[in-house]
Amino acid sequence: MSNLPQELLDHIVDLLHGSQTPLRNCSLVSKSWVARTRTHLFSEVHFQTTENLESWKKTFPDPSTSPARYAKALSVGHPRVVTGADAGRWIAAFSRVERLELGGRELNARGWEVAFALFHKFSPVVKSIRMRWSSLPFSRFLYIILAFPLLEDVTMINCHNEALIDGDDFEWWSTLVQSPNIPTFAGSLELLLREGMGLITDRFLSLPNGIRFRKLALSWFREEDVSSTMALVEKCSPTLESLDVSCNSCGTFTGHPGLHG
Amino acid sequence: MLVATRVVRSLDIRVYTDNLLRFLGQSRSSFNLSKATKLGDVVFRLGSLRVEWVTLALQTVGHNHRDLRRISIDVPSYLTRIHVDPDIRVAIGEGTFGQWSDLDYLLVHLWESYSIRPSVIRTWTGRNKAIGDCIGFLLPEMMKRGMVDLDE
Repeated sequence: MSNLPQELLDHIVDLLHGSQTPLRNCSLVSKSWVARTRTHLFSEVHFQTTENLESWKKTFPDPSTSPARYAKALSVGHPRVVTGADAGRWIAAFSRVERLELGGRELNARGWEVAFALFHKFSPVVKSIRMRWSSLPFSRFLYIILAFPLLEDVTMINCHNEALIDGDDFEWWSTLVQSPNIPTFAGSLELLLREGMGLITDRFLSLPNGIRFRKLALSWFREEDVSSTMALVEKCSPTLESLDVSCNSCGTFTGHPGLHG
Repeated sequence: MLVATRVVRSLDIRVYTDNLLRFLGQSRSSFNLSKATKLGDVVFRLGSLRVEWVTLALQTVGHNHRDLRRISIDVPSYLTRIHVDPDIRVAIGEGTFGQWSDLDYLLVHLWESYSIRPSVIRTWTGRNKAIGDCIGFLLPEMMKRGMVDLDE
């Protein structure tokens, strides 16, 4: 086995992508197999509970030698993941992450503040951000998405009526977007927002380099958000390949004679 | 001439009102897709029975949209609770019924003129017959031409 060229061994391991048990077995075959198996075994890392986090830290106490560098996707949903004393050290180890997912109802306002500070520019190759929140510091969110020059895909989901917890500071935003490394936003934008749709679409529309999303999935709940949503679609028209629009409403009680009870 | 009459119960039940449509209805505007000529597929997810905003948006689609191959209408599950008999117009109101007729006509036109395939989809399961009956009344021309897939 040791006589086989490394490229061939790597190819064999690549063929097992997604098959956790065979990959684990391969990682025990020889030291020369470890690195390649880890690129698959740790390509996606999820920290949704404190148990996930504690298990990771226990297994890999030294962030610099942990398999974090193999992770292409990182998902964080629990506040303790980001508020722990050593959070900065181990998050920095995930320096090659391309897809970042933050959020969930577990992540409170304090958690978001800390998370944004920790994840700000933590990986220069982030291409996709997905955020799902119940209470989000609005301005901080915008701060973080502008920190990744290669960012293409943005997903923001807020299914609850709790929403943006700080104010709108357009002046601050105007200064921020003058940065030379603003992402081009040429991938997909998915917005499912009970609150803040107008604010966020306005921010995207105000980017000096424009936006070139190829896919838009927009779901809104308030009539005052309609005009900015339409403007967003129009702005992306030259590049738009896929459009998914969902017209929701606030939901009120009315009688409708034609419906069965 | 036999005139079918039926007393329709008036119920206080929760339905989604459509604030957007009220807005769009006043302004007679919707998404302008005339410059989105690279579009390959479009999905409209309905929050209410009113579909005027969909028709208005699709009226901006034309011969320049050469890549557009599929238009999907995602219908809400409460469509299955509409009385289609004796007359769906009574059930949903003449104005709303007219909006569906306009949409029906336009979707058939887009299919026949530009080969843009329309489909009715849903993100819920079950009640196949009820939804089939209802869509048959709302989009009769599409149904007649076998253009309603009712994909789940």
